[in-house]
Amino acid sequence: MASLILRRPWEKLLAYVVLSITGFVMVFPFIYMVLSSLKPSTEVVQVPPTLWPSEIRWSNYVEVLNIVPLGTQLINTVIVTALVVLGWVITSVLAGYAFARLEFPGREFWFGAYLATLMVPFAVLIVPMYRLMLVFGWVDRLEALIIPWLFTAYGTFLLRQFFMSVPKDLEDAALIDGASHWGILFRIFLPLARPAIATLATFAFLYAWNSFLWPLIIISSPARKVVTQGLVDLQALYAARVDLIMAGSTLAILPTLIVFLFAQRYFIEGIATSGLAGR
Amino acid sequence: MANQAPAALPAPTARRLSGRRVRQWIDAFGMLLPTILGVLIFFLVPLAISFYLSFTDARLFGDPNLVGLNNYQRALSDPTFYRAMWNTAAFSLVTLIVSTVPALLLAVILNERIAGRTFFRAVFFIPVVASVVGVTLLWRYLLNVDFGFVNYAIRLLGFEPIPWLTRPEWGLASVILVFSWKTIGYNMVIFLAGLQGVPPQLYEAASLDGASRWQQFLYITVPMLSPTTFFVLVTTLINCLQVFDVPIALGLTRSNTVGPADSMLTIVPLLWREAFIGGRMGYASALAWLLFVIILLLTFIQFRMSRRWVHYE
Repeated sequence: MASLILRRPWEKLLAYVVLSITGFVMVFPFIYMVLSSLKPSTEVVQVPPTLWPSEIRWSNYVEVLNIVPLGTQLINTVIVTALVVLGWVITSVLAGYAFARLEFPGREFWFGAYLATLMVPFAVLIVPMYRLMLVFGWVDRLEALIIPWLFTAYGTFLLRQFFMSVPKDLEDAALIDGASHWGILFRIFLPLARPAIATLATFAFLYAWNSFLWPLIIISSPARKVVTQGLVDLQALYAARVDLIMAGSTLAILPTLIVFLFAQRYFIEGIATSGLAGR
Repeated sequence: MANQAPAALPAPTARRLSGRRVRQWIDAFGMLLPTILGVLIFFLVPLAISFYLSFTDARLFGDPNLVGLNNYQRALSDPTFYRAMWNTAAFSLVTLIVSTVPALLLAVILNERIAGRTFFRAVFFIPVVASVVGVTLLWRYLLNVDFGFVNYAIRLLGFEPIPWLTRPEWGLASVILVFSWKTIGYNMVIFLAGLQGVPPQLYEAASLDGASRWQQFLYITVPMLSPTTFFVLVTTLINCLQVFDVPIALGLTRSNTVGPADSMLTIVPLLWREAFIGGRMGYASALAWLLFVIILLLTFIQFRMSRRWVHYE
């Protein structure tokens, strides 16, 4: 596409100035965070602030992993995230395929009804969900962070849209050969759906890794908390140790940045094509 | 669509097809079963319980008693509820502008054929993927009144330092700042996708007709982008009304106020505090349903208003 708005050289220059300043505002906090996480505890509260650490303190990371205890909480977060990602992918592939390629009474209605659940704010569900967890005996247990969150209307929508775009000849040929729908799904559709699954998995990862409100309500033992809770505890209990808080934040943010680096395409395409994110 | 006209086929074929159809129903049911169970147990049941609890005096433990509309009446006469409502409204209104206008501007620039556009797109998107709690604690440090980097920069420029997190009048501004910083990249990507859907021929034609670039923006870009703009406004508003992580991570104090003098208290943090610190689950449920009704109303109003300014092809 030709340049539509920026024609003169000074306009391009202005555009780069705007982009660079915005880019700086978006990225500098992260750089400052990492540098601060390596400073001695007196240097992070120093006025005027320093940029480069006067001495590099890797020991901050060792310390932060053992207090709160953030190390255990990171492991909990990894477990919860891995299972939620797996759950999202499995339930969305199955439901998305059924809604896209199988015919059954009321299909469009049920799909619409499922999408409509996205309208209900999570706030409406937290109190009864807490009581439900009491009944199940899952209060203060990792089950509460995993089992209720294995399904997603968003993911079903994403996979349904993808499966609908696959030409019908493929499955007709397989049906004539006597294949079952389960076989067609796993042998023909699943390999084709890899990009859509990658998009869904990146969203599921973000959602599970960053979740905060529900763990805050349901988990109270330090050894069973997730990393977002650990960070808030760190802030509450060690407010004066900004170096440790920055080390903790770095540990919580780094995995998402690494995933983003590798899966950038899926993130951005996922948002651009579906415009949806979240549950 | 082989199985849609069984009547026209000879009898044996029709029977085989209908058997296949039943097979399909069973397969569909099997594939949907995990989702059906999930929605039933973890959505529909809680939804019904929540509605019921909002008319009871439920506490953290024990059996609830029905109290009619007491919870709703109580909310409407509670100054803290009005404070949270006001904060939510002010936060949402300002964020609706601050997180969308710059996003549109950046998207328009990145829609041009310039070097480094994928690089910048990725850079602006970084805050979107980073943990909300993580970046909010990072901003809590940056915005510190004494040793924060932001006030250091403000002093360098020759202005008075700003008590971002320590004075009630700055509390909401800080929440808006952090939330918008995190949301701009997301809105930008959606705008960018919308811009790329505008056919270039429209601009070429307008340009041949002698339309200025500003006219092209106003009469081609703005109307062609209006469905995207509408989507961005609706989703941003819904997210704003439900904001929780940022005010809690930025402002929660030992005495459980959210920001100095509850200046960062919005609806969902209030609901959380009532239910899980105060133990008033019935009241919190009523707050949740009030929020739900407000979201539905505002979304409905946005849809009604959209008829005047959103143009679908």
